[in-house]
Amino acid sequence: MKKEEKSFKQISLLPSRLKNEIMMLKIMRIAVSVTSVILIISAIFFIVTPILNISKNLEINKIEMEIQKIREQIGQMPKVEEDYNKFRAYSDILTKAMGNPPNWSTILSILATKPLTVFIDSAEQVTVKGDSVIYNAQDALDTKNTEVKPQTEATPTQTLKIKCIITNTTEFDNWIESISRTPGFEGITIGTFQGNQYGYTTSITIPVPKSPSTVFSTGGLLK
Amino acid sequence: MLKSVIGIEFDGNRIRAVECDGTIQRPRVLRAMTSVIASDSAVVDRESFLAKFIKDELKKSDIKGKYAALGIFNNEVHLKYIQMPQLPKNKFLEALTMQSGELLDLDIENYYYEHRFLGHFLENNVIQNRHLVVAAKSAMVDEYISAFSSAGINLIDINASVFYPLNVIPDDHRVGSYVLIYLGSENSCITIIKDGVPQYARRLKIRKLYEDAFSKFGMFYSESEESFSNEIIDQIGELLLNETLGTVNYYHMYDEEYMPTDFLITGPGALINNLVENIQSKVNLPALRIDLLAKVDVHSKFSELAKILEYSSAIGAAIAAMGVKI
Repeated sequence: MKKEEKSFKQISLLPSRLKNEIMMLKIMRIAVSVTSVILIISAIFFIVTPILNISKNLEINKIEMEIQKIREQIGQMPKVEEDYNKFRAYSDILTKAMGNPPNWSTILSILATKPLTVFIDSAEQVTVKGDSVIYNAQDALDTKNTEVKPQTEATPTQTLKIKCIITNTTEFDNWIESISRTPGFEGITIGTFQGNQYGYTTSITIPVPKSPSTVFSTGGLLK
Repeated sequence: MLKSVIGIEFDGNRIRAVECDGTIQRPRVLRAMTSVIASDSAVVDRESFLAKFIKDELKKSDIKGKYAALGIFNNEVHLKYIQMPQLPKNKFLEALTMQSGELLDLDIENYYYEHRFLGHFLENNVIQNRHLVVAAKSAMVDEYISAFSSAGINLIDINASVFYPLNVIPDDHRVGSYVLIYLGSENSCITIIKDGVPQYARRLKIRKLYEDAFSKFGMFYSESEESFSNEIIDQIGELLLNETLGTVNYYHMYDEEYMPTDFLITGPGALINNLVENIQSKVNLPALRIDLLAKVDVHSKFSELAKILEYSSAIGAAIAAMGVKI
């Protein structure tokens, strides 16, 4: 029914040329409307949206700056690593060169307490036993190899063997006893006595305390 | 969407116009005007005269719309019902053109016309189609188009003015059958409407009745006023009864189920006192004036609210113009 009614309403006695003109006008209006909609959408897209997104853009710029900063930092990293490696190599050379020097100040402070009746003939050598490295300063200085070798951490058994001439055994005994009470020197040993024209000769072997390390600690620098 | 549109009705030498805005579902009448075109035999260039008249009258009434629909129903507008055996559309149009003299009693080549299929029935084992043909003389239409164009108005729809009131019919009459009576100043029409589609229409010879009444009773003819005697009103009612019965009987041949339920009356003649009541008593069916205010809003500037029925065709034309949706 509605279809018939609609058809009836469409009766028009207008000449065909005017109907066509009206149709063209409608098409033109539709075209103008569509174009306007497209222009409005374009305007929104190209003008309004950037304005609305300005805060987002600022945020993005900030993030980009941070990224740039981090990139620059990352760019500097190889140099730091290179410096570290150099430093470590030199450090290793230095450690190797220094080896495990005896703590001479302690040794000398103990030797300074010796009685006048005890004479030191010679300090024969510093011997390291077990896994420890034998201290040889010349060897350490001659080493050019910068490669870091693993250091054994076994118990140090470095000792100093000192030959003594004793004219008074009692004072010698007292001295040895006082040394043996000094922390770090408990392991002092005495060799056999041999008589001669001055009295007796013997040797004492004392554990050598290590000098405090003078090498910079690098542990954890690049971890 | 058009800002405002104009609906115009030419009723003899009268022109009625309304300017409407709003929507097609709920139009609003802003302004209205009625003028009589002085018939001056000295006028040579009728087109220019008409253009100036239209322009001046619309300006006087402050009607400013640029698009209009025009309703005409004079002797050069024809409503014809034809029946033809079922044919393809192109064959039908060819037959209509070739046989217009016999079928329509006019030379269709001199007319702008449209047709609508109304239904079919079986006659001697042949399917016969019924069509409504609305035709208007092309010379007259062209003259109106040129005149309005010169007056700065673009005509976007033209139809028989008696069909435009269909646009203001109340919604409860969209389905079913009823009789629409349009009583113009000079041209009136009775139309049987079924489910919103005109099934049959006849021009009423009321103008002649008016003239006869004038010569017989010496009365001054003026529609919309109370100068009609009961005798004339009774004659008009009688005429409408005869026309209705004739129309119903004619149509009954094609659709036996058809029976109009009521009469809807509109146009300036609907304002004549006691006429509607007279029609109702004669046809023995409900007769109502169309309630235009149920269909349209009226702007406060529209001062002729009591006479809004006079503009039912012009308002319907304005609604049709809205429907063109330029």
